[in-house]
Amino acid sequence: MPFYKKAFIVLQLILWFAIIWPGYAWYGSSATPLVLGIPFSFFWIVAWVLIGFAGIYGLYHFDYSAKAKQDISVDPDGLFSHHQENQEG
Amino acid sequence: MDTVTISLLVVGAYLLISLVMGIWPALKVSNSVGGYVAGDRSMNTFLMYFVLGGSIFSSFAFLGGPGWAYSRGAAAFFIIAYGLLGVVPLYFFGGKAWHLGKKYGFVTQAELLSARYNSRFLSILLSFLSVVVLIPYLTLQMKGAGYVLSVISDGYIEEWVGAGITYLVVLIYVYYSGVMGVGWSNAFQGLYMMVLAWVLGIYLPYKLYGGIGEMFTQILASDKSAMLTMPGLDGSGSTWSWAAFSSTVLVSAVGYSVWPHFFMRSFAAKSARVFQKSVMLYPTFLLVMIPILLIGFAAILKFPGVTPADSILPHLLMQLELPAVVIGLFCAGALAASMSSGDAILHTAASVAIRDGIAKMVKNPLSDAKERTYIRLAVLVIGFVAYYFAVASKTSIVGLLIGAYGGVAQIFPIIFAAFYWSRASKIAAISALIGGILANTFFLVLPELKPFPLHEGVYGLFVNIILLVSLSLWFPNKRTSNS
Repeated sequence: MPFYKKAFIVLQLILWFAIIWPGYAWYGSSATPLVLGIPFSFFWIVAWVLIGFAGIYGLYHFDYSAKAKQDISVDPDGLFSHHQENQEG
Repeated sequence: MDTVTISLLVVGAYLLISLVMGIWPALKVSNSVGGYVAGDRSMNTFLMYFVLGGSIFSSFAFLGGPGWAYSRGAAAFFIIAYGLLGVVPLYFFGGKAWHLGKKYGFVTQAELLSARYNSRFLSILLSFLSVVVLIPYLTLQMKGAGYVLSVISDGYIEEWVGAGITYLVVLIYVYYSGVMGVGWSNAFQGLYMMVLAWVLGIYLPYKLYGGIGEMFTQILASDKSAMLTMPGLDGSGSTWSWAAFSSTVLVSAVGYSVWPHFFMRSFAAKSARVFQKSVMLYPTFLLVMIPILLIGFAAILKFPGVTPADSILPHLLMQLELPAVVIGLFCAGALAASMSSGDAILHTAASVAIRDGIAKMVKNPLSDAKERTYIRLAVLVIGFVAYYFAVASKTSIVGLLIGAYGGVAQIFPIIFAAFYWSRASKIAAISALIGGILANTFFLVLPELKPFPLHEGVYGLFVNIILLVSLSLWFPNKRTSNS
């Protein structure tokens, strides 16, 4: 797995920690101070949306800018090949 | 003419246009059943972006969002939290599903899964589950339409009549023509909603308090200040628990990417890249939740005691001295939000019920004409069932959807394993799905028996994953290459 994908997964784990539990409860739950006019608890979630967006943008960017794009062999083991049988049987 | 009459005329004109536009495609030659869903795999990034984003611009976000901010404060942030986390798996699933769909011709989620696990029974089970979870989703869209018409007519049009009229229009055009052109109408409605949301979300705090910061300062100084501390309030007005908040976000985030009508969009994209790009851009839609929630916060001090809380947005609009045409346009927009999601859900639920359910139960394949007739019948039946619940139930808009999420989240583990674990087998997938649904339903019906105050979907997922992993280890899939 390329480094940027590993980094993306780590970022997702941080996001889960920060906005599900316990990051939000420990660090982000207070209503004060007001940041840019909104309560800190609101600012916290908005800031993580921006960080999350930057993360997935990076993932997309590297996914499609890799110079030697490896051939995508779809379903090499035929795991999904029962479709026709199901249609007929 | 008075405000009420003019706004109702605008809304009436909007409904008439929707009806004509909706029936129009049916006047042309209507082709095969697969028609719309198969969609020729032709959607570009612009359309796909708004089709995905349009799913957040339903009554759920547009009326339920301000409703929660108004009545439960910071609890409403959960909508942003699960949207951000929940869309990420769709980036990975969507890319894989697109390639598989192109290779094998899948057009629904159940087709993909029943091919992977080689099971017609799984298809029937998924179709049943999809219909059961999509009905509350449809019900909440109907309730939203009812609130809008009831409030702007000053209560003259009762909620059940308002929901009835709006969804009669939807029923007629879905019945006749499926959901042709849903992409372009969603794009138009999406842009319209974005502009309205930002304008209102910034205008209202200035008009009522002199600024956003000033508004929150006043709320903090009042006896409502506790609402702004996470995780906000629960339905009865006392402090919500972290266990409930976190588990609700978790279950919703897990369920989000596997909603049948959402997941299926990956088959409609022009390429895997187009789909993944649209998913990547999705968080920009979440930012529009900021002004939408500000609208709800703006009403806390100035308009206390409005019930139901979900009608706070149209209520606010009627209190401000806005031109009647603007109110009418706005309410038409709110109806558009309800209808654009409602028609897609109705269409998906009916198609899935027949294609993946009934058609798989009978011995001989259904003819195209017969399948189309059955899908139309299913549209009527599902529409009426959802309408019955919309009229009969008193649950809040957001509450209804949270209930449905526990069920839909049970699909996630078997989709994940389908793509990433070749050892996952038929018997394991079927048992996991059934076990998960049973555990979820048990605690939904009997919440007092929960060992911890977590969302019932967590118990469902727990049983689900244990069954999936253990049974796949005991009875692995035969076609594995790396077992």
